[in-house]
Amino acid sequence: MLSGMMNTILILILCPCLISELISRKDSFAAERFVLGLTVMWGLFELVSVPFIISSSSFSVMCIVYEVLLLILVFAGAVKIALKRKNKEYKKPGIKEVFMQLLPWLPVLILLAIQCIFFVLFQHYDGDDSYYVAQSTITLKTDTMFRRDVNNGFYIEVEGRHALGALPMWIAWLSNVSGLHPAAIDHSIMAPYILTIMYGIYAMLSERIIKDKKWRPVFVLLIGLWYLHSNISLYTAETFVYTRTWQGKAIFGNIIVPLAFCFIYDLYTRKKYTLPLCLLLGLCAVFCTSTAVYLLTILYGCAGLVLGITAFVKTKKLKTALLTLIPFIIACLPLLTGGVIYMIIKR
Amino acid sequence: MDTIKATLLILKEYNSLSLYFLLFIAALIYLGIAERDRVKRMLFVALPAALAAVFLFPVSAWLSMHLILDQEIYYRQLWLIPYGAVVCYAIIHAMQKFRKIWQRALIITGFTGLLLIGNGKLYLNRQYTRSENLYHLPQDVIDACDIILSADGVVAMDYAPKCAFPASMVEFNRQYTADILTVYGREAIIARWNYDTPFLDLISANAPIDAEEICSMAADDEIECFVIENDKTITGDPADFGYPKLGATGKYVIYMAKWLQ
Repeated sequence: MLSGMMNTILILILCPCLISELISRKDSFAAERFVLGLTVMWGLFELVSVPFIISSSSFSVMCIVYEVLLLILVFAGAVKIALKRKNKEYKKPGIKEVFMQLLPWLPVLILLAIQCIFFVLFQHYDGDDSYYVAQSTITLKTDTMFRRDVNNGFYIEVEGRHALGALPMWIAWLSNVSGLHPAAIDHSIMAPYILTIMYGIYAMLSERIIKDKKWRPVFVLLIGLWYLHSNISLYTAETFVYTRTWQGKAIFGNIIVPLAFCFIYDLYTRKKYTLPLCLLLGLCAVFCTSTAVYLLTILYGCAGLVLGITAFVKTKKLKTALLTLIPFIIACLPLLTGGVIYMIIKR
Repeated sequence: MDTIKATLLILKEYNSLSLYFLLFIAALIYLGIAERDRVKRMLFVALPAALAAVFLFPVSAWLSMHLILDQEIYYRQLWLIPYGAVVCYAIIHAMQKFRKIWQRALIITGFTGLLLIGNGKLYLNRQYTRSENLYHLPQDVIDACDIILSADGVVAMDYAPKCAFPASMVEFNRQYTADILTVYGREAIIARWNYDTPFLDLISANAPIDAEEICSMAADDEIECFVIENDKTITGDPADFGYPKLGATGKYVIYMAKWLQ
């Protein structure tokens, strides 16, 4: 069990770190690099798994394809780091430097550490786990994807409602390579992991919207307080992240949406290479939950509309306003493709 | 009209009796007045307002509820609005604007005070319990499944037995193992789905369970193993009807068809 945990943690840390070398901008900080590395892992899994799921192919064959592609990316990332070190572009930060950078973030890190420990030591049962966790467990046992009724284990046709949300399959893959049970991965590892990623994304957002560095940790700390006090009903995204962190819908509401706001900010400020990240985020969103096909389209659509109207008010030129919409329309393409696939499977 | 009612009901249930929406609206108004940066106004004022308008607008709400999502999950569209980020950014903005210590203290005390008074506190949620294992599943369920899976017949034939579990187990057993097939799952315990499960009704009833009745019902439904909570009483011995006791945990007693033991 302990080696399984170590393997899982190693995969969840090492892969995003190395892959991030291929995708991160030069000026991006550690949390952003890590998050982008993870989104590549998820996006790649969605791209690889959906054709296998729809064609009812075997889980193990899909895993081989995914692992080969993932290894190529990991290897390429490692090579890039090695080349950087060789060319002395890669500067290993000193302990004092790291400490000074982390010091202002100490209260946030303490708050996060307490919550992570709490997540491992305490449990919160959620009925929907009997779908999500069971789906991963069944996949490992039967080598099929979404082809068994989670309630009784008998054979069914692929359910269109869930087939695009490949997250339970990714957990099954993680379980397969690490040797740890899917329930333990979801409840004891993914819960603190996702919470950490969430705080990292809010740090990314703070880096964009707050110029004065000293206020950024304060913003994230306030976000932490807000989250701790938003268990107001069963329905808020904040409630979901604390009661069913590992489920795709909680990840959508608390990882994908704040990350989308970071990328929308980048699109508003015309930061380079943002559009590919928006496309990647679309894949990750659908990976988490099929409903993201619609929800993220609404978000990108409204963001484009707001920019278009603002541009029109400023310039009074319809053509300029319409041109500002183009990146947002392109960003919706993976989602619209997902929507078409969803409609076909559902039929 | 029904759509407007449904939308308002969702908002009411989402917000409960908290200050969640009120704090968000206050932050939105403050940023609308005080924020001068065009991009941040778009991101934290115009975009959340546009998303709220799409949520509330009856035509888009009707389309979402009836054609795309479902009325039951329409509330998830509210997740697109970054309430926390808007409120916390407004606090930071105000603290940067008002530079005197007492002003900043007032802002931060007011914010935390309103959170403490008006919003739900996660750390007081009593549904959290000390985890019994890394799976975060009830240990009794794991033990009961392990007993079933280690039955001689199951091991020898590498066989997936078809079992019936009590209501307290059905949400967990299939999370732990896919090696046990079940007669019913979680759908059986969701009252609004009206799933017909006579066997579950029998083992859930408060009255003593007749051994002959439960065993004949199990045989009719091709159930090879059934688990009952150990506070239930069985009149007679199921072994006499082909289902000897296989084992027990602190909370459950397991009976399995003789040919599998």
